[in-house]
Amino acid sequence: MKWFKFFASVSILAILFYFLNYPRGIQPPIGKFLNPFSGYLQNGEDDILPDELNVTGLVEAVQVRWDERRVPHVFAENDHDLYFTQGFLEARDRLWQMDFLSRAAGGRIAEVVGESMLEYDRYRRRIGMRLAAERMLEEVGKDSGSHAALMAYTNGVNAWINQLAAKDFPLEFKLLDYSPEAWTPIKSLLILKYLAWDLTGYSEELLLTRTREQLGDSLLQKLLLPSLTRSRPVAGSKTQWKFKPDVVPTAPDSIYRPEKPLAEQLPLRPDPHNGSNNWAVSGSRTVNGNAILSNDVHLGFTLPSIWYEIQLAAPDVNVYGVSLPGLPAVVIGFNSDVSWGLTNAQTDVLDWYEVEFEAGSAKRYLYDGKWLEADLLIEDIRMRGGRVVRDTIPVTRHGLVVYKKDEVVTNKGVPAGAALRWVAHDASNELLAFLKLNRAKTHQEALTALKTYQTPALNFAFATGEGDIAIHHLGKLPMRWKHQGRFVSDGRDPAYDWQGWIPREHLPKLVNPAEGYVASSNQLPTTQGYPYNLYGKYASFERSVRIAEMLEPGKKISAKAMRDLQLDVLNVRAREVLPTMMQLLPWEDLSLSEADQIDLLNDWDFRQDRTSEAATFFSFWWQYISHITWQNEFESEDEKLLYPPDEVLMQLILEEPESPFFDIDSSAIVETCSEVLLLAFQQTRQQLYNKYDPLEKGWEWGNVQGTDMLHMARIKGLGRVGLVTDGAPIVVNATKRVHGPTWRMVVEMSNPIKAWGIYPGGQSGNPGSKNYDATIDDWRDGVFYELNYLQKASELDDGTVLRP
Amino acid sequence: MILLLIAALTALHLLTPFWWWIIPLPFLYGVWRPASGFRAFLAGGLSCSLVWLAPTLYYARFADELLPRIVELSQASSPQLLFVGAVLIALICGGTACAAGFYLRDAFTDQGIESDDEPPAKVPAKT
Repeated sequence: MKWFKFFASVSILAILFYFLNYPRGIQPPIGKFLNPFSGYLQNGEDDILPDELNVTGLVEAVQVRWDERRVPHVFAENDHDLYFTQGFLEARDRLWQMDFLSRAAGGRIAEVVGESMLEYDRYRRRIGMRLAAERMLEEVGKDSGSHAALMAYTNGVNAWINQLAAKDFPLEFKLLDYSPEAWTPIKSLLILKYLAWDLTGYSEELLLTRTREQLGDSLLQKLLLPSLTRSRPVAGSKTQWKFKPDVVPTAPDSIYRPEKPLAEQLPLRPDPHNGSNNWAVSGSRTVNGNAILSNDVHLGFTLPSIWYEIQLAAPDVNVYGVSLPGLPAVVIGFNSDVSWGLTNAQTDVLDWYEVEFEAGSAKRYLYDGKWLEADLLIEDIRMRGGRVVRDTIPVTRHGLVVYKKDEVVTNKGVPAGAALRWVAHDASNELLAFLKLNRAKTHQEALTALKTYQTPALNFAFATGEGDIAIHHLGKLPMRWKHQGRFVSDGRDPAYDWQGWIPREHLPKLVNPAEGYVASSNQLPTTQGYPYNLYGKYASFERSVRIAEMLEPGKKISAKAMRDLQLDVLNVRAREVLPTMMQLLPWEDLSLSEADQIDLLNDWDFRQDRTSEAATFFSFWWQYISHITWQNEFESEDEKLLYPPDEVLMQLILEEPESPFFDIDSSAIVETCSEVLLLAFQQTRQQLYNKYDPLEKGWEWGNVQGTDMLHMARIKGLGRVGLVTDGAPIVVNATKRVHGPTWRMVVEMSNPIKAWGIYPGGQSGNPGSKNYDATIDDWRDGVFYELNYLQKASELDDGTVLRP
Repeated sequence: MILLLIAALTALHLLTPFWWWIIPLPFLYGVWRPASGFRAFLAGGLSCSLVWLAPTLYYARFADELLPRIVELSQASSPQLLFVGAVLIALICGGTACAAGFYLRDAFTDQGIESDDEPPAKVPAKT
């Protein structure tokens, strides 16, 4: 009996230990987590750095000053200490984010989360993220300056990690039950490649290939690839291209059409989630006579925030802006001479090539009539618990074969048996470009700095203290024959290879134009007169038109007007097409109650305000019109094709309301635009009444669209959801549910510089800090903070001295 | 002597990140001091609860931002439930471990050892 009691209690203890010490799924180990000495409660307090701190690895003392938003202003005596300190501070505030992003980029999430993430990791390996980062690291190694900065940053991160006790680990490490590992340069570069994939890693090729099979070439050309004229191109509408272009390759005689199985794969309907805007206005057009730059960078919302605000000052540099935690230098910002802002260029730098392998071989493939040997990339994917899954990826001359032909494709949009050609796989050194850009004193120096910049292709807008303004559609862009890369390409035929690159000096640009402003909003870069073929999922025209009309000559523009323009919510599409829609709508067929919404729309000021019910009605109505119009041609029960751009539908409503495209095949009568508008109107009303009770939350746009800022690892409770926001995808303030302005900045190139900015979230990555999400409400309400661009550390009192 | 257990537990928790000190230490104490299984459970459980409760309440004062997030994440209805959870873990682990220690000693002896701070246990009747 005595032994029984002993063994019984020991057994209970063993069970308790098992349940309390090990995580179950994504649940943290409860004993560890609730332990008040080293569990979650240790993350409740903001860690304040002391006035002085000894840090091994520094060469000289570094002054760090903090402002009221916890933005660090780093004053170092040399570049090594500058980037070392940046690494140290970013690790202090964002260590888990850095670790997680580098894992997410390189396919190492299953190591900490478990087997559920195997397919995610496998995909990241197969698209060659690690390969791309390794090639970049090799390139960085060839340049002593950027290599030294990267190593200093790495050592700074590790200096922070090395002094951490387990109780000090960021909360997410405790939740997921793992420890931070040493930082390495490759992790930094993986984060850069993660951003590159985020901005360029979508593809319409499979969808368009399939749509072509369904519609035929002429209809495809008319509906999917029309010449759209409303957009204001990045490089301006009247630009004359004075250079002598290189020879543009000619298309093969017959265009390749993949065999049936490829066309039958389920394609991805990509949402490239654009929304960024940048513009610069010349001093001749501004109230104070200084050039002004504006940039709002749209990415997926996350907590912790994707950006980290910082000032970096050393003898040859004094730059302020946002950095990407994990990477040295400021990515978007300004110094006392040059300010710059970025938008996604949207130009396609990724193609798929169908590969013909020899029967029974995963290695020998056909190219130019010969059988070539593919390299094999071996990837070992480690699971939590120790299991290792080995993956073998063939690499052809075009790139990695992401899915073999007989494999189950788990990522829609990726053609099975096709190789991925992506510019970001090429060796490059974007880090050097940003390091030099941080130090540029003129527009020309900024351009020289960007010589090594390749991917992702971006629109760089500049305003300088000398008064220059410019915008450059910049990146390593492949030379294409007409329509090359729009469809899945033939990997056997050398004619489909990229035939070199568009010379950098020929890339679209606009420098000091007569209009006194430059602007981009992910739209078409050039007019048709540009001698090279550029393709991409460019943004619809509305934002570019709105920005252009607000910056049109005749008005003097202030920095305040710039900030207001970033918050502008006027829906240009609605303004252009709604009056015609209301004329075409057969009012007489509407019931008395349905007519209520007529008044709603007639009284609308076309603004996508959070309180607007008309904005909600119009947005839904437009979706129904699009669906009803195109469903005959573009959808059937089992397949979905790419819809035409909205501008095509607008054109039909405005100019061809009797178009046969409005006819609904399944009905007995011949419909015109009017009948489609009526049907869509009634369906919209029904849907809104069903989904949003007018007596409860109502149809207010902010409630219906809403904005969620989810935690980076989607951990419940660590995000902010249900924000009631202004904006919509096609207005300048392109705030959407999970995507929108992640950094708003306006810089007036005065002396001294005046700048304003805000990003949603906060400087700290610790969910227990008040600086974790402190700025979200201000961001939602359109507040900008004045940025403290210091000339010397003593301008702020609160600070820390880091000593070697 | 319970104070010694409390002091040792606190010191080890402060010096190391391990939560499971609430098992071996009360176990050793159970081998050494208590006079009955019930008393052992009380001694171990209450000591560990106290050692976990005090810092829980202390650190919770600085966790205004964090606690609502952890409540949502853990689907607990209130922060107090999290505190109760922590104390219960300490109580059950510490108590059971201390009782196990006592039962181990008891299995080797016919009679409990007199304690400084606890009355001697009655000698259990042999069956």
